[in-house]
Amino acid sequence: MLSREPEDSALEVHELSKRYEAGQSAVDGLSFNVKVGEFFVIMGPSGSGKTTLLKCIAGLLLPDGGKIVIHGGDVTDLPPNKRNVSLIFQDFALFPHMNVFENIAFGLKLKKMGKDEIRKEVAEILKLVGLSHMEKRFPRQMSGGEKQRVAIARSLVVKPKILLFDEPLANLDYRLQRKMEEELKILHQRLGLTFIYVTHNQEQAISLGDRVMILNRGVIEQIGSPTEIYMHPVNVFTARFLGELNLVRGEVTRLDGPKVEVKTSFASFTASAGGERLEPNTEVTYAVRPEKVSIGEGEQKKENMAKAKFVSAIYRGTETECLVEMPNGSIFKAIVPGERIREISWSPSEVVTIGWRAEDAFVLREVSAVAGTDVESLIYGQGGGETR
Amino acid sequence: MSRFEKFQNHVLIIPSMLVVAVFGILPLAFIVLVSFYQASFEGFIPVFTPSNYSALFGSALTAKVLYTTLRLSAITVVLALVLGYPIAYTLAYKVRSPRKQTFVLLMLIIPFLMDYSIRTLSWYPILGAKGFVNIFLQQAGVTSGPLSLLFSESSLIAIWLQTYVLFMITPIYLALVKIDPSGVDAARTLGASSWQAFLSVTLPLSLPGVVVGSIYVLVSTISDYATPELFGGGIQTVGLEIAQRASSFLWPEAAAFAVLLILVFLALSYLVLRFVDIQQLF
Repeated sequence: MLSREPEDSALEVHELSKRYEAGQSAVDGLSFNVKVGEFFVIMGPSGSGKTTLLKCIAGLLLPDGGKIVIHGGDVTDLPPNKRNVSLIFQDFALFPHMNVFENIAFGLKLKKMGKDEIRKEVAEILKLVGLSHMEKRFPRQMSGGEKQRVAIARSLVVKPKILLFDEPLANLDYRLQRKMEEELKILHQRLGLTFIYVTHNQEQAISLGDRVMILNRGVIEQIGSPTEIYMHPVNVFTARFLGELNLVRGEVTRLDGPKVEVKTSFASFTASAGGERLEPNTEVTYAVRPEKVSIGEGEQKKENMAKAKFVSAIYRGTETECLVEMPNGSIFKAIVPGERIREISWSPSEVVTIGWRAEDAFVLREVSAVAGTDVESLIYGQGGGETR
Repeated sequence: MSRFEKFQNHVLIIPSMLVVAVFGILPLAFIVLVSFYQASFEGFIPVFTPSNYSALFGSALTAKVLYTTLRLSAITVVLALVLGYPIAYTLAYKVRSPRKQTFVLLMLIIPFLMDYSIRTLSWYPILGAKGFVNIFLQQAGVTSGPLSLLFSESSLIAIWLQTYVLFMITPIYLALVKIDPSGVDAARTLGASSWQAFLSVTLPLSLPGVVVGSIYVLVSTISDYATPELFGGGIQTVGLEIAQRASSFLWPEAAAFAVLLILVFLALSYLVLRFVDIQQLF
């Protein structure tokens, strides 16, 4: 720890624990670092402790154990107003009895700034978020997107060292979410500020984050860049949660150099062994990405072929998702170019051939950082991802 | 909303409007009418005269009684607020489990399930000459003889407080639970201490509850005559004045005093409501 330059870390969290209390999830021994200027996304299902963690960082909750260091200073025991971090809430949390100007000036008044200076600062920040003409409006007279911009302006104007976001776009409609995502990304680049962003939305996590941390039941499943996690999930939970993977349980039967053969309940498939240390008879989860699965192209020989029952095709513009049912009852997805929707003429339950190359598939040995996670329900259970 | 639905809504409020008209507005109109009649041994003669009001305004006692009443009521309102707000706050934010909240509310309501006279008379064994407080003070050697704790302004206020503090707590509690708790959290992360966050967020947002509670307590105390009669120790209040006039068949004068009280009260309410939007409560 001593070798690290403290200037490089905006936030250091050491062994942070908070026990479960009514209305809030627990976190258990979390340790991670956030670099200065980073857009760090914390992602996890509900009950994973993301909001608890965020509130501990903000000082709104006192942890039961562990240490929080912001820009080199230990803030574990400091109240929220002494931490120099600002939190943006899902429900905006604007002060309903104050207009836009008063909302934004709130933090500046507490800093005992002069009236003229406050006026100047507020005008500047309103220009930044594009709400210059709305100083006199009250929150109840504004749309969700406008309110969220006011909330962001109100937090930015106090010049925090770290800006925390608690699912800030969850209450906005889809189109507005996409627009705000872009604005946040631009804002982040322009300001060079450290953003810590909590979400359960995988699209937002992938598109916004420099790095993403996957949280599950209060423990860290994986930290890495979006592409790293997407391409190389460390366990089944992460694979299920961030990606759209076709997964099936199996057992290693043969190791052949870079390739590994896995026997599932209905067929044997090959995959690249990757970094996993494997031996025959190891229980693993076999994974292949939907965009690597081809469908109905029987003449092209692939290493892995399977007969499956066609379920349906979903047209999404640039791509078409084909859902098929495997012999074990699980649903596999194949993503093909959008225009192929015209060729798709299978009727439901018609048997089709799907195939993929061995190097596009991989195996996962770990299930989850949470001990005792039931892999069957994780893979085949409802919720979390797309496959069933 | 279709025409028929509108019509339906109008029809549906007719019964309640009738109740308000018959039992609220009519008697009030009658009181206003009687206040302009001439007094007589039978109660009143239906002859119009401004003399009831000229007698009222001509007497120095009127202003004095009005002042005493308003002063005592105002002190009670302020004390009820000082006492009730922390209770409402604790109930809204510090008592986490709903079961405990219900329990505390129940404990506050139970005194109201008792009969008024029993609840009031039970102050005798507490504050009376041979009451609990006096005996304790003498045993402890603080005082040599019994203090006259009852029959004074302070005992009147104490009894009013005990009776009406719940009327203050309830609307404040309702206003507090409606406040989004993340507003306070936001204030904290913007640099406010917990006290500053309370003053700038929680308190202003709970003002409608404070106003409604204050009006409840004010109305209840300003017109009360039984408690001042029993425990006031000879204090003259508006309620007492009206009751005394009414019982000596000076109905028009009693009515005029009542109208004056209503006007004073309306003026006070108007002033307060101009500054606080109680709509926020609903």
